[in-house]
Amino acid sequence: MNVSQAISRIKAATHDISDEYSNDRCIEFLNTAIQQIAGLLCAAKWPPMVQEMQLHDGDDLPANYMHSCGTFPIRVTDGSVTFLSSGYGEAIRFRYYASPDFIELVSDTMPFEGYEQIQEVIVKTAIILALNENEYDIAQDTAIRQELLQAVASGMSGNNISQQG
Amino acid sequence: MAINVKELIYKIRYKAKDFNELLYSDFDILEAVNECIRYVNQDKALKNSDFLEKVQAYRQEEMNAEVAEYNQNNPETPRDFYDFPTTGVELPDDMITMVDVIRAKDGYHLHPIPAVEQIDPHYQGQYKVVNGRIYANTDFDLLYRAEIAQIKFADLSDSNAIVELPIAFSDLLVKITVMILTNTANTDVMAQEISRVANNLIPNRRYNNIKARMPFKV
Repeated sequence: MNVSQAISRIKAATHDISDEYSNDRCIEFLNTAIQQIAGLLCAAKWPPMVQEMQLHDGDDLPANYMHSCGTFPIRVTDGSVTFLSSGYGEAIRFRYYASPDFIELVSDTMPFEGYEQIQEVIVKTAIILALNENEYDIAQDTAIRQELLQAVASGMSGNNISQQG
Repeated sequence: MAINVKELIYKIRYKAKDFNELLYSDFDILEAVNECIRYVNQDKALKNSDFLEKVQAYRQEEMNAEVAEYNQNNPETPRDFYDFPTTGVELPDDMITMVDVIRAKDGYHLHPIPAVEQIDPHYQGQYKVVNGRIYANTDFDLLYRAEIAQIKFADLSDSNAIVELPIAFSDLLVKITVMILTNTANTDVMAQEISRVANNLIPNRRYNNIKARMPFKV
């Protein structure tokens, strides 16, 4: 799904015939929704959210860092990393849960490519955020979003054979 | 013979269902394995088990030749020469208990003397241990029970790194390590469990059939 398609969906769902929501505003809704969903997927320890890097003493944590996979012998102060001992060599293989990059342009593609159901939840969440700014009753939309979220969550737990508990 | 570290970590990840490295980093597993090894060390320290007996050879002339070479290369930080009868020599770092001290030239078993006494300069049959050093008036071999070395961070990327335990201990390490990773059990519970599992293994694992000599015999 492209960002332009997602924006069209938002505008259609909010009956935005007067073009009340600009493209930039819609992108803000989408970015907020993406961060919410990414937080849920990281909490569910979904493997595709994991990234790996070589972390050096004194490096800054990556901008998309959410939390690490397990414990690492580092101390983080104001976003920068200090190794707890010199015995770990030049760099540590650092695995962490990362949020997707922010959408900037209408021509961008939506994150989670290939995972239609996740994109569906993102768009639905963005629509609720948009509707919430007006006088619409969003109870029904919220219920639908909740169902979609549950569907994604159960799908993820099936995907993630490594997840415990 | 010994347990390969890479294989051990593979088995631990399988047991913990974490091949994706989502729950535990290598560092988590390293620390848990080392905790497990420390428990095993504590447990087997006083047991009559011989699978980690080691021999350290002490040869005064050879060791002093090494010191002389070192001092030549590092004149700023010279080391003292060894004099076995008067200043002694340090015991191995990994020693838990002493088993025997044997004279190098003929295999004669040296006799211990009280720590306050001096080594007889005319007799090559004595040794004493005080303050982490062993004293004797001859070259000798020290037979001792060593503690199992812990894994180092560098071992994680070394496919030849080993834990100095027989492969029969592999399941013990895997099981207890996963318990340490997943449980919040206190140390006493853990020590009891180690003791139970290790007790099943250790009495059957003597390498030879020589009966352990009692300290007092007629």
